[in-house]
Amino acid sequence: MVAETKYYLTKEGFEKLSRELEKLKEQKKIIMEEEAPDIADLHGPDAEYLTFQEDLGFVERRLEEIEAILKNCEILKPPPKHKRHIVHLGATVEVEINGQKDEFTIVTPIEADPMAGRISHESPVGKALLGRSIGEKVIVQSSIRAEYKIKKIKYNK
Amino acid sequence: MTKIVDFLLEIEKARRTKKQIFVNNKPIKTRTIADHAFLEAIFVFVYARLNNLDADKMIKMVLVSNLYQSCENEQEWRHMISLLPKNTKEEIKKLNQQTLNGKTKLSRVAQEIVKIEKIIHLKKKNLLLYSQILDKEIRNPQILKIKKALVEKIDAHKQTSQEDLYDKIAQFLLGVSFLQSFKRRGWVMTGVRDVETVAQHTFHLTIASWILGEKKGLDPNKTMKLGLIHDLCEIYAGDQTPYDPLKKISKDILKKPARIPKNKKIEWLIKKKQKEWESLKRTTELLPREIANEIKNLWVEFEERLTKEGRFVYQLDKVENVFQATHYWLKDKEFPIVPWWVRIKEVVDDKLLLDLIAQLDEKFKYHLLKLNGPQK
Repeated sequence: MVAETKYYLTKEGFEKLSRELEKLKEQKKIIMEEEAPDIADLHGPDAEYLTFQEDLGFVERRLEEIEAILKNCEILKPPPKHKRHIVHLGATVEVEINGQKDEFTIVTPIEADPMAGRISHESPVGKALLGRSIGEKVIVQSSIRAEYKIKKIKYNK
Repeated sequence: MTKIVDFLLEIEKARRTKKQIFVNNKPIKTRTIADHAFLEAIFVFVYARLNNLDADKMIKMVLVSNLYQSCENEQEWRHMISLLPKNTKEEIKKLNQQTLNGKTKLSRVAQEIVKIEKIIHLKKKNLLLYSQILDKEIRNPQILKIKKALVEKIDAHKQTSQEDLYDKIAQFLLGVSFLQSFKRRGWVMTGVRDVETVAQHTFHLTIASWILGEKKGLDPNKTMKLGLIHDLCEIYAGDQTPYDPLKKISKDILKKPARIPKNKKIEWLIKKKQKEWESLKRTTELLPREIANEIKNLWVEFEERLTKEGRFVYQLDKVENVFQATHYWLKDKEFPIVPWWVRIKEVVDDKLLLDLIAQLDEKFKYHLLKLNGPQK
């Protein structure tokens, strides 16, 4: 028997996917009833685009994917208080990179959106930050050297 | 993977080499091969969908024939494709033969489309002459109608008729042709010379998405199309950069990896997406609904990284920027390459793409190491 993939989601990520799932279900119903409206307006970023989808195959594939994720997911909980000075999955880390400040939330690949500050724990920077604590300097290895100094670590309750 | 890195660096020549058109046996230089290839690929995509033809194959034919033209001789071409995995190399060889022979229906149609795409870049006198030549060469009645509509628009600024499909397609193509001269703002801001156009970037990404999508075991036709349409949203939205929230942008900011506060970044991202979405709707509304929807679906799939293919091409788009930055840096060692190398390690998590970056790093390691300065 093949073990099912376990997905780790932040609370926000879980809520976002749940909203998308509901919208997709509504959309599927509309398409099935052949009352697909003209392209609806965009109401916000990310999954809200899906309100316009008219391609049943696309909607069904995405529905299946989200259902599989939500069925096999675990919502990330903050670590116990004495471990909150360490970067775990779901942590928001304030760093200083070669002298400049930035902030990343470390998430799994399905939630990653580096433009919005959510970086994947499988990216070289995400990987390097995991397990490190406040005050540590993390070097991301490649020919060009980048130093990430951990200033603060926060966890959403 | 080292060979694929070399291939991706080699295809840069399509961005440098200008395409020639012969009007009454006189050569006229227009835009670069990559610029033309982009619009030709969009054109064949729309045409194929309109006529239930194999769009994937036609797009590939156009890409391959342009890569072939970017090589100075057969030897250079053979070397270029020798860098590819065996299956891809064989497919490309076969597609190129079919296009050169013009014996299949698809290759004939693709060739005719390639001929009329150039019309968009001709000035009045040459336009009319070239148009007459084409009347004798083009057999396909639909393509002739699109050609006629294009000539009327360029020559006489004819308004678009909402009833005439070919007129609307001609207008769509003219809109898309804007990306052949639209320089990417991120590079403009760094002050480089010879800034690439959105069309040139797209050409490079489309080929990389096809080749690497295949290597990754994804649907290569899907990854290729995602690459092809990913920047169509910029026709009316422009090329927005993450530095836009900064009130003042100086070259010094770009030399260091400029970091934007998270809240400003998210605010900018929401506005950017809305603007691009509106732009894409406006661009595609000239097309039949099914084709417009397919383009919009592909774009959302890319932009929101909804599928394996969407996630892969989204990251590859960023990797392509590192390749382009490398070209600028190789030409001018003052070019601020460091931020591109720092950022890419935050953005990419795909194993194959990380390997690609590692190989690129390895290739230029000797020179890149010198950029670190003294270590504390």
